[in-house]
Amino acid sequence: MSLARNKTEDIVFKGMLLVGLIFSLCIFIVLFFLIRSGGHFLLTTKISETLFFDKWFPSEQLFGLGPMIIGSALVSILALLFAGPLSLVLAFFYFYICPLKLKSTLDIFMDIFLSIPSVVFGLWGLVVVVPFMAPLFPPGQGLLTASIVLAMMILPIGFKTFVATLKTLPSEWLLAAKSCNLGEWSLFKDIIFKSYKRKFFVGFLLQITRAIGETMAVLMVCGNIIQYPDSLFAPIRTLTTNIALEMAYATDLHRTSLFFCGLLLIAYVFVLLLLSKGDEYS
Amino acid sequence: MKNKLFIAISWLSFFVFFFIFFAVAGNIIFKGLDGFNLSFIFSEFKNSGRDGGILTIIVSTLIITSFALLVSASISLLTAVCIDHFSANRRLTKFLKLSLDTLSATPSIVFGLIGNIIFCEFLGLGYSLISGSLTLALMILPIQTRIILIGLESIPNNIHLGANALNLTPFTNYFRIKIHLIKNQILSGSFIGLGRSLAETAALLFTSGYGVKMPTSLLDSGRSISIHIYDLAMNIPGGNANAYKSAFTLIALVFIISLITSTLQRKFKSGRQEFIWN
Repeated sequence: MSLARNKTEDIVFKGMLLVGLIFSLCIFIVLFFLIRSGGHFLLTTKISETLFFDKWFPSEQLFGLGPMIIGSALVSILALLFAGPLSLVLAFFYFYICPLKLKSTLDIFMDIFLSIPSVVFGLWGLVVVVPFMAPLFPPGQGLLTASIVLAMMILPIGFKTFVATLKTLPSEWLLAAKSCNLGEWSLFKDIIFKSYKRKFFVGFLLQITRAIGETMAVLMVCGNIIQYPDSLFAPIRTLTTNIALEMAYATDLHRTSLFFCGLLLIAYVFVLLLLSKGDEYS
Repeated sequence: MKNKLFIAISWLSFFVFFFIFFAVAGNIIFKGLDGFNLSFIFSEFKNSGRDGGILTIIVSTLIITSFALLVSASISLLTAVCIDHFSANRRLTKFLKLSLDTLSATPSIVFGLIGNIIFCEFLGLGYSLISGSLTLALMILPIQTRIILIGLESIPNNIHLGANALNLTPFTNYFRIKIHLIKNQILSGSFIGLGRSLAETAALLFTSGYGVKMPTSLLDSGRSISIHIYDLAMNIPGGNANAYKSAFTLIALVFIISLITSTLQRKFKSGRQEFIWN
């Protein structure tokens, strides 16, 4: 076959480009369908009331998302508090302190940890963590349990991101640090942390995005009661678990309110994305 | 002094990780291996999952994921080619990348909602294997596209210039020349997508349903293995033993896939890209 210009090939390629263009813009198709199905809810209820109102009684047409938004935020922030610093120190350990023999072990363990699906974390939380917590802090299913399970899920993600960041450190800097007789602590505090502050921040945001979007693991251990949590051990419900729990039987306005939850989640993720990588897109 | 303290803290964090790892993975692997044998995978579903095996569930999982991979692999190649083709237009490229990244950061439960509206209701496919796999395809599309795009962007410019000098059409340029250079990226993207779709639960809750019969067509409902674990743990008292065995099977599958992926990526990194005419 000749490689010369040929009209049908041009037309086929243009068709392919069109398909590619449509699918690279498919977030708009997604938004269109969400708004088409959830638009009714936006028209009939006051959004400000929905966001800050705390009563969720779908049968009486009361849709207050306040407790769930607070629940989502608290769970993910707590999980980040547990997992963020740990994964950062672990990544530093991996590069500068870990003996060579242990390194490959750590690698394999992280790979295994990363390949555990979220539903399995949920199962583990339900069978191991909840019975452990129940006698100490009744009822066992709650904010702290959920954030512990989430923290374990986001630990390897943070580790991989930070390792990828630390890999880009110029080796001249390391040599210079060594020749100045700097210790590990000053290497970490004065060189790595100062120059990669921004990238570490992005890593933390990535972890929190993952934590807020997680459904199954949280669903199985968070208790699923709609309330503002008054202690660390109170049962809560998050935006994602709310969708998963009620979608099965919701109808009419109730159903559209769940689509509104979906829109809220997309908006939230979009803001986090712009915060973390905004300069890449402008 | 501070230095020693920091070293001690990092060793401590290492041991904390070790402890967590054995608490989670060790627990699942030991409990999952307890009474596990191959007949568990190849025997029929009995007594709402408490006894018997997961044959039908494995079959529906394989159908869902392989179909999703088939759809998303072909579309993501087109999408990546499209973005690369327009790369001269910086603003358009950035906009397309932003839209893809938003899609890839979207929580999986939202994909479940969207799949339910678009495939189950709008296209009238109902709760079926095909709507589940199309939802999964939508979910792994942005990830695969970004990986293929990295490959396309790393192709040296002289190949592009050479193709232009020979007056080749873009079609020939992409599908006869550049595609050979990004084979590895396409493969590793597919394996990452496969791993993601095997592990996915939330997106399938409202799209592929809970059916446990052996699927006879793509329009049948069928549960994937992750939904099976969820159902056993949450809704069926006394299903924990089988839930652990299924969890072990799932982790083993995902781990094998991630091993293949990392080997592929290492191969891609170590071997210099060379253009071979064949």
